[in-house]
Amino acid sequence: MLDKLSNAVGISGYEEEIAELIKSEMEKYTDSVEIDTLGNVIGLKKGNGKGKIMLAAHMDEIGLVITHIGKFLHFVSMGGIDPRVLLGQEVIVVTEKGKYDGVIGAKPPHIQKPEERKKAIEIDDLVIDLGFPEEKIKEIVKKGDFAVVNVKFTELANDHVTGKALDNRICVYTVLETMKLLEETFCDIYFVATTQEEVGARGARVSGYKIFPDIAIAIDATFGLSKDSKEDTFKLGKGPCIGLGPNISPKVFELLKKTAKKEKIPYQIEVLPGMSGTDAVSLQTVKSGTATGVVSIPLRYMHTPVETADLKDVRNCAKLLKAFISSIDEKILEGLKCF
Amino acid sequence: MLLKELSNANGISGFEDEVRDLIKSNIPSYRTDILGNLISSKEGKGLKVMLAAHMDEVGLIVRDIDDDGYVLFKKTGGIDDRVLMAKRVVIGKNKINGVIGSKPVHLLKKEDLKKVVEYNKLYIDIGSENKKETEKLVKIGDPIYFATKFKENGYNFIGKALDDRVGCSIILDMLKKDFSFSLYGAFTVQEEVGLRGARVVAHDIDPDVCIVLEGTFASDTPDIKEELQIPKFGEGPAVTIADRTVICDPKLVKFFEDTAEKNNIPHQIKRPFTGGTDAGAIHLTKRGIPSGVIALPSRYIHSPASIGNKEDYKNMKNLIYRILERLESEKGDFYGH
Amino acid sequence: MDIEFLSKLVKSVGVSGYEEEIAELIKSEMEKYTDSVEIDTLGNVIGLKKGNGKGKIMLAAHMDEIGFVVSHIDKNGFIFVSPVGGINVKTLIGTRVIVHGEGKYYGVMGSIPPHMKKEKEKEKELSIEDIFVDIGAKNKDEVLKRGIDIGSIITYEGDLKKLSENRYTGKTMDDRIGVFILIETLKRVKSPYDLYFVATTQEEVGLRGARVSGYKISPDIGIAIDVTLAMDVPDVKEHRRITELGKGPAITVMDRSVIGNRKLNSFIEKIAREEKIPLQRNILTRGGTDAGSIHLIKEGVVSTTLSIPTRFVHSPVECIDMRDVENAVKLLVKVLETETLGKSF
Repeated sequence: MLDKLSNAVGISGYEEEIAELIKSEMEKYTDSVEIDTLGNVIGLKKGNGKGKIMLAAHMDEIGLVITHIGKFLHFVSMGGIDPRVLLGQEVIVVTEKGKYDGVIGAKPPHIQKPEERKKAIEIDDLVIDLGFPEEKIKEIVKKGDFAVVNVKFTELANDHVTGKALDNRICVYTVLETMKLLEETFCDIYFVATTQEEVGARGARVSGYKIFPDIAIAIDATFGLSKDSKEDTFKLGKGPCIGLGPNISPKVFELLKKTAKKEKIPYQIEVLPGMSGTDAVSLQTVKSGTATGVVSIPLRYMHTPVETADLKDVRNCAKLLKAFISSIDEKILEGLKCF
Repeated sequence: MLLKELSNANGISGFEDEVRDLIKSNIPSYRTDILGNLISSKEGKGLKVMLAAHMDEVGLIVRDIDDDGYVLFKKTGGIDDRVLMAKRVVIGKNKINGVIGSKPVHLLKKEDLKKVVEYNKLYIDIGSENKKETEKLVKIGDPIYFATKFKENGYNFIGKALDDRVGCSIILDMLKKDFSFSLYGAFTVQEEVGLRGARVVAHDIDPDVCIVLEGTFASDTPDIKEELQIPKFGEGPAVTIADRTVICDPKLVKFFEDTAEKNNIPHQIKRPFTGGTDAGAIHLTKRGIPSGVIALPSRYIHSPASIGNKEDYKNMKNLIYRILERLESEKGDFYGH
Repeated sequence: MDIEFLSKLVKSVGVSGYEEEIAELIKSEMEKYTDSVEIDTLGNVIGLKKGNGKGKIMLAAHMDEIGFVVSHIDKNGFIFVSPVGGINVKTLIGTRVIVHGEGKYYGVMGSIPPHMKKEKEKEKELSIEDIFVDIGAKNKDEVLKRGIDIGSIITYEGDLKKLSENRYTGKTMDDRIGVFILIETLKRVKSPYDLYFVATTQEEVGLRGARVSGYKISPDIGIAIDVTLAMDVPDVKEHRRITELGKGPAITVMDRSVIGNRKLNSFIEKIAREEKIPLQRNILTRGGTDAGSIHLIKEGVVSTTLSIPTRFVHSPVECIDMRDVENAVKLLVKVLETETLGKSF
């Protein structure tokens, strides 16, 4: 399933394909699934109706939006992309007429001037080459169509995996795995694959308003420790990161930590002093407020075609979320507003 | 004076407990909401008036403890990195003492004096021998505060967090008085990281009008151009026409100014389109809530030591009281009425 | 189309947060064609034209303009300002403005002439603090006597002028042209839907008016009418033009505040094709419109933006092609009158 999720396409605002995939999978484990005005996929697993818990994992990925059609395609980015990683990258252009393979071309070193190679690439310098004659391109591609990197999900050594859009498909996968583990619950559980998180947690705002949960947990990717990113990053394989800071309810934080300790699930703590940069930013201030939590999977090389994660973290995260949900009772729900 | 205790109390965004508890012990009844906002209300007839002030101050938070036992931190809220060097701090609930270290001048190269040391290169020394010892006293995620102690004399007071403990202090005074309308005192959380608490409190209470009480910056210091030196220290509370988050209804602003004039209260205008306050979040809630801001011009806010003027404080309190008094007898003609 | 009225709209005063004058003008015009007009808490003008209750559609065009507010008057009578909305400081020197006090006073914006600056100063980028307005006063008192003080508003001078057969220029085409389209559409349309024509406030400082008026109305569909950049000018490569004058209005694929609802966009494009109305697609990486606020109201609102390509946006000489405006009105009327509009979503 994770491979299908990673390979499926869907940038912010264009999530139909990934939404369909998630919807059919969710239908196996929920009482109902619907799609709201902004395209969020909302699955409901009824409990005893005593409270509402929402798990939100965004399904949109970053990508490119085609701005001009000619012999080559010009584009801008949807979400934050380092343009330097695009040079020499294969892409898939998604149009109404179908998907087409293309390349973001790189001048061969033979004809480059030495100074050129020292200059960093900017997005305006890049174009997509479909290799078709111009008339054909004009027929099939329209301004506003999108493209994603053409990278197929693959396993690496040591339970590690790599693929495009692991931010945030690996967390969508984690939520689906959590669903499978859940039995009867005290609360009604809403599993939401949100849209447009990469452009400002927009899907979460409207789905959060619609559901208005007591507790809302955003499951997202965080920065994984790697050779060139040693500060403020988290080791892969050492467990999910539990967020701590103003964007997180201190009660939800304590409960997540307590649950992890009790179930002997490895975890790390991520200090988020301002806003978390996840769906929790929107979810926390819906109506008269919700008690939010942020649980993250460490991911190396975020927002590049080679995002890498550890499946151990996925399994531990699902265990943690399941145990957390199972521990919610009347007393805890009442205590959320006690400060 | 309660302002002293409020200023000395510790509470960064998301960790306002000590401030909240202090305020609770000074009001007869209250409730808290899911974000930790503290609301105290007095039922009345007709109008629903809300006074808002935020409990959180800017500060730091423990990010990590390095192998030598030094504490590394992040900032919560807007702080100029340059005020951090060589300052005394206090960590967590147990108030562990620490210092933000700084290289002695003797050991500095000439070029070093020209550089700004960024916050992520700074560290806190709590005197411990090693990492293990530090971990016994300090946890990741512990809040860190400036170790400033409140002091006062006949003219002014010096303390941390005047932004916005002065606002909290004045609301407590207003809650002691009686008005015919319903008065809500909203002590909000997380203003410094994005006006977060105010947004949900406003949605919940949905008042007819809101006055935000703030601490703002006094601009009359040597490093600011003469044309930009408003508001000034000692020239009265500052009324907001507009800041970066709200353009106040001109009729509401006039209501405030007229009230000040009628009661001979010195007042001034806050420098337009600078800064942001809870009014930014409140005025856009639901169908819109007419909101104004009145602030104490303090020097050096968002740093370890700010100075406030006693006359300004008195005048601000009096102005708020006169405005509430006026709202009792006459309805303002700001939109929605 | 009533170009006279457009001229009045362009001339009218309404800096973000201070829209009373233009609100009055719009309200009296709207009253001729709607069932009711009201002004809400943030000053938005909301005109309702009832249909058969098939659903609610909100059309929003912002009536506020970018401008300035007086922040300081020096002893020699020079006025210093704070910008309201996105001002490009480089365009200010030598601009004619109007300062609003007791009456309207002409002024010019200046700064220290470049050849008079110290070497060190020349390197510093021009900032709004270097700009001042000269209204010909000899001292501060003369300024105060004219009813001008901290908080007084200042607008660009720039009445509507016809450049050629279809080309017009003026200040605040952004977004008085949108308001104009709103009124022209209102005059012509007969729709089964309840139509809310909203002249919003404070768009330029954060899409604020649309947020509260949208909450109040809670529409099923929202369409913002605004301007977008036409970069069909010298030295701009073809792929960076965004939109071009005379090639029709533009429907928003995305801007910084919203990704246009794709089903709604398809629907509008289909109608444009059927009616042979030229329509471009708009992609902006900077800037937003009222649809940014509207689409996130409550449980979400199906929204998009229809824009008029404009050259020199946010300057006193914004340029449009009137054929694009006429086409925008035609298209909107047709869209609003089509019964299947609500069904597609």
